[in-house]
Amino acid sequence: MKQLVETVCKALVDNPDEVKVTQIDGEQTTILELRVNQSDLGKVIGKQGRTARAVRTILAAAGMKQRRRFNLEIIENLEDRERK
Amino acid sequence: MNDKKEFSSHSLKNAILEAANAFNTGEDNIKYEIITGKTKYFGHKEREIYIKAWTSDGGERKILSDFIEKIIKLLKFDLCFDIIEKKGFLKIDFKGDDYKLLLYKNGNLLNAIQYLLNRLFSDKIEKKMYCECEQFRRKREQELSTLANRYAREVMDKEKPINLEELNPFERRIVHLTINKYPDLESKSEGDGFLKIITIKKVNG
Repeated sequence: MKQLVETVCKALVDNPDEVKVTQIDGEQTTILELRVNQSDLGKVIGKQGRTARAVRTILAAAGMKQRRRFNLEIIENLEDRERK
Repeated sequence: MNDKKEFSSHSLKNAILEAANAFNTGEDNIKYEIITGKTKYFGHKEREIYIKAWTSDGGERKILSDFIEKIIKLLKFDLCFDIIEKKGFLKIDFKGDDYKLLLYKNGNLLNAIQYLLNRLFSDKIEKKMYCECEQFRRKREQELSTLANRYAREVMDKEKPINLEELNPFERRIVHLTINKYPDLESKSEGDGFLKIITIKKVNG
């Protein structure tokens, strides 16, 4: 699933090299932490969070097939924001 | 991603034909920009026309189908798809054993994929894309207009407004069009997100 999030997000952003996904596996849940360049944050989230919701919907469907829960967390780098 | 090549000929038509032959596609699928137009030297010697050409359709479809194939593979879904051109739209028709996952919760996944594809490829592909699976959209249209008709009768009988569940713009349009046929009733969308609730009520009610 890490690869899926990476593929979609790299296609969405202006700085694909800075897309980083960390996968944390739990017993029933997998958390996918997504980090992108501060300027690409809006692109990943989308208007009223539509893009992020669409990615989460895809993950939920994959979870139904694999009988696992996938949580997508978009991590904002606070240092970058403060610098801005 | 679309390869651009230069072609020259004594007429624009021939240059496009040459491009179509080189790309092994039809003339309709060729897009071009003119580099130098046909000019005359001293009134008699003609210079050839130069164009920069690329394929519009074949290239577009390849990018799109490669991406969808990759996503399906990563999702481990048992799905296949066809890309069909329809009146300025690209219809992506999904088939396969996992089609139920696409249609789960009123086609949530189908809509999510459609949104992402349009978001990702709007700059590369001019045509809008819409995803279809097992004639879901046509069936949903029928289902919603039946529901709207039923609610319309209920509102007229009981004279109480009725709220429909949250619907997307495509679904809301169907409900509004159905309710518009009843002169005594009006429908209003409420909310400010992508999904909105529709209220059906009597005019002046």
